[in-house]
Amino acid sequence: MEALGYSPLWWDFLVPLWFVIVALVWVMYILTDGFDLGVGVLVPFFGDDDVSRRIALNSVGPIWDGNEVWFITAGGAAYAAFPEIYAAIFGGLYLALMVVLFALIFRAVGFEFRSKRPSQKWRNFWDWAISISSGVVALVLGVALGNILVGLPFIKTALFDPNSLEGFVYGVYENGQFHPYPAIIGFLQLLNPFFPNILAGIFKLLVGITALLFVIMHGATWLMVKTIGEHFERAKNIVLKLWPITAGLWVITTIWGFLSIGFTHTFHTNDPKIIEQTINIDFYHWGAVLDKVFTYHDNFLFQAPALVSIIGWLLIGLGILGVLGVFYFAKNGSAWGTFLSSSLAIIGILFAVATALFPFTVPSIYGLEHSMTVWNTAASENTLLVMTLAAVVAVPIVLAYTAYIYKVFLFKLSPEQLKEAAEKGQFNY
Amino acid sequence: MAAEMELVASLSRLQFATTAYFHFLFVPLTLGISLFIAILMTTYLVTGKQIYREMARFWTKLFAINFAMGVATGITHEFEFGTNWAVYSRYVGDIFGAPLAIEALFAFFLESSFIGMLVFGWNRVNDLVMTLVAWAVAFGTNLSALWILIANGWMQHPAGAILKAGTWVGGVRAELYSFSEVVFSPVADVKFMHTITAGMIVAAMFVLGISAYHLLRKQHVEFFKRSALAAAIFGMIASVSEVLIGDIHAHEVAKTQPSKFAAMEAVVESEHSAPILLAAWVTQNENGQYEYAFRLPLPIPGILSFLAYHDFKAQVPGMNDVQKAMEANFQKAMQEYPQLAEIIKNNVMLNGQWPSFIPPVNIVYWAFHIMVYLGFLFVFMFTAAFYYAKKGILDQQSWLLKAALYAIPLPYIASLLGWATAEVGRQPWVVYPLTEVKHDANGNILWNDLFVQIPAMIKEGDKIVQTNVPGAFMGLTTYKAVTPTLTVLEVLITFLGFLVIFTILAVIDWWLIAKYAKKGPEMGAPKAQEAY
Repeated sequence: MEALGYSPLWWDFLVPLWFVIVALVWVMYILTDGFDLGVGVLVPFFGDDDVSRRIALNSVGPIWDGNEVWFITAGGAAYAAFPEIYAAIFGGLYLALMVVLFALIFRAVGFEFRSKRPSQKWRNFWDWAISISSGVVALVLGVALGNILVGLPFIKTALFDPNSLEGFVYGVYENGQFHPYPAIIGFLQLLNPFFPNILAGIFKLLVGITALLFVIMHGATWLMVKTIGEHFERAKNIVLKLWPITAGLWVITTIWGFLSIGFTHTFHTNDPKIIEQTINIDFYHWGAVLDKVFTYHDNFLFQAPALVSIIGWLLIGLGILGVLGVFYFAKNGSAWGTFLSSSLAIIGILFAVATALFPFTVPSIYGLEHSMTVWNTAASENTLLVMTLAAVVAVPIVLAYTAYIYKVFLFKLSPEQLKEAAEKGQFNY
Repeated sequence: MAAEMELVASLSRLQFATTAYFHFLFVPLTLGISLFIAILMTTYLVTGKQIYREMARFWTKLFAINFAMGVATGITHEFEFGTNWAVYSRYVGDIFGAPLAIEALFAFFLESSFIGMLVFGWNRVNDLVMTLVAWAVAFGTNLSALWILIANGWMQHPAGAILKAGTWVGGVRAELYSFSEVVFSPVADVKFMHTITAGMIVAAMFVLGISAYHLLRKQHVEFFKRSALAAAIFGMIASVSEVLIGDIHAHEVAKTQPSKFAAMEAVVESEHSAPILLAAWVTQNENGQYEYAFRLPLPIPGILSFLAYHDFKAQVPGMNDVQKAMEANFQKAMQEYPQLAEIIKNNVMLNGQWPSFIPPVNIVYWAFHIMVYLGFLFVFMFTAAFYYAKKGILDQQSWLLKAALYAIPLPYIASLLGWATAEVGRQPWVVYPLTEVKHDANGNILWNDLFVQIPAMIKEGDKIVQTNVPGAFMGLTTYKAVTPTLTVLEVLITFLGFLVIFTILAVIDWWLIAKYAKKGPEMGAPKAQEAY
């Protein structure tokens, strides 16, 4: 790329690699803390008696804390690998992210405080606090994903006086004035079905609701794994009840997103003030796509490199297989089959979304030339290299001890088991 | 607009300080007590005495209640850099993000994954595994502190970065140049030692104080006599080390952050053979010059010069000179590199004027000095506790037991004052321009050469060249670092939200800790409903 001049060739490979890694970390978060959140939502619905609720809590008790670290890692990885995105998105989605953080805070202390007093009122209060905060996290993250797919309202504009120093910055155009940084989007705007227009608005809310339902269902499949007898039947019924609506919504949102002609062009503008401020960036890396209107099915239609399209279709296949598997295995009462199918579905669906987005990371509703791509937001070659080495060393170690801890706590929970554990001097929630 | 931005920046600072302070009400105990528990478990394995296992179990229970709040208050920080300090994040995120990500990968995973096992693993896995788990948690928490303090140390002394100006596709930003300089920065490493040792002191006083509570009531005497002895040894080693580490730390600050050091020691005019001030109050006259309202020097000259620069004669920078020299050095840098002048206008100047480069002096001075005086008090208390505990008559020294009980909050206060010194003292900077105070042979400060040279890729004509430019260009003031599109209302809502919610949750958390601490250890099996 001309503008860079000095970037080594391998930077061109590390950047898309880090797009995949950041996507992977987010998928790991939804996969692991996803079932914690789902179980959290279900706590007050899993039974009116204290023992049933404690079974739900203890199914994730020893592991939710470690799972939540994927969220921290996702934030850190996005910060280190794509600092521009981190700054623009987290600043831009200020109140939405704050709502997620408050909810995570309540969930964390809820788990810890809940069983510390015998009072039924106290326990009931925290059960609901855990349930609502878990649901809020899943819903808001889902709606945020929907908003990103629809595009955020920001433009690219000059940072300095272009005569003395080059450089662009993402900012907003409001009341005839440019504000450098970032695409501010209020919490109410995030949930507003009329923003940026009615179709895109409904779509992004549907993404959020689908995400919430998926997460609750994922939690129920984990409860199937961790319980026996009466509680197993309860968890199974929850999965079977949630399945039709979850799968249905997923099909609708997928087809809708797939077929719509580039949301990102909703607001494609001819406003000369915006065009004047635009600095053209050479998109040679993905030139073929950018010659025309960008849609979310482009990367699946062999307009992208063939390998990307093939991987894309495989991922969609995994998603379909997973979603069908959840129903099949739940019906047959296979706990592990249901849970693994649900996991497979999450992996397939989320990676397919990432494939559809690439090489964009956060599209702008004002058009492609304003959108963030992996290339114009990535960190430097040194940072990416250090981070790659760190990830190569750390991730296998993390996965190894996580697997060990899961194995230790993989026993089945039941009222008898909780009683027996207390007699043995084992701690529980 | 500009006034509103300043208000947003002030509120964002308040919010960050609030969340950071609440976080650090729970973190230091985690740092220290995780290590303490690991040592207890190891002692149990080596000696085979059941009581050490019971001790580890009891302190783990309190640790777990504390840990939940540590996680809850900590999770906000990772994201606050982006939400409230977007300009900061885009300017230095290339360097600052990496330690945070590595912290999550190498350290936070370790502690958070194994804390579940440390709490729930008792009698499910064998005691050797539990000991290893305890060490994993202790190692993870302290490693976590290392990476966070590397990130923080870099803000204080941004070494290892390269400035890319008008050459990177996104414009101007600092990029990683030498990872080892970032990681092995002496500023960061001494900060780490200082912080984890402070955590050990907090934990030692916590254990000693709770043990004292039970010893005063003559309950579980054997259990808590042992706990108190262990805490006294732990605390004595930590508090003595802390005095030495603190001295090295102050020396690093004197070398790299003259404005902070001048405020910490309330040095108004630069002085050779400077004495140390036992108490002081500084005001500003109508010309903006700093002057003493009163001062109480220790009547031995040169102590401060020696502590700061290991030379009794060395000149110690005074705040009036630091302000003048900083302005002059910035002017010089802008004249030398006119093509980069806009960076300084953008990152440092406020409405075309130089801001004050001196932090709020009296806050920094008193935070620092009260912390130091408390540090010496801890050395005395732990030494006395060790003396009596070793003789086996600690339970008869009710004056010391009472003192230890009421002293539980003091190490927390010292920790918070230490952070106030470090972070209020850093103002007005969020990234301190890369500075090194150098002396000539006569001990005079080289005022015209404050900034260290940093590598940079800049445009000369049509070509991009790598060259060295003054560290001035790395500086970014807090008021220029804030997310510019935030509104006062938004930040006000979240700030008050954090303040209210954290206060309520912290009170509940400590109330639960106190409840379980007062209950004492449950030897044998707990009752089913009270199981945990």
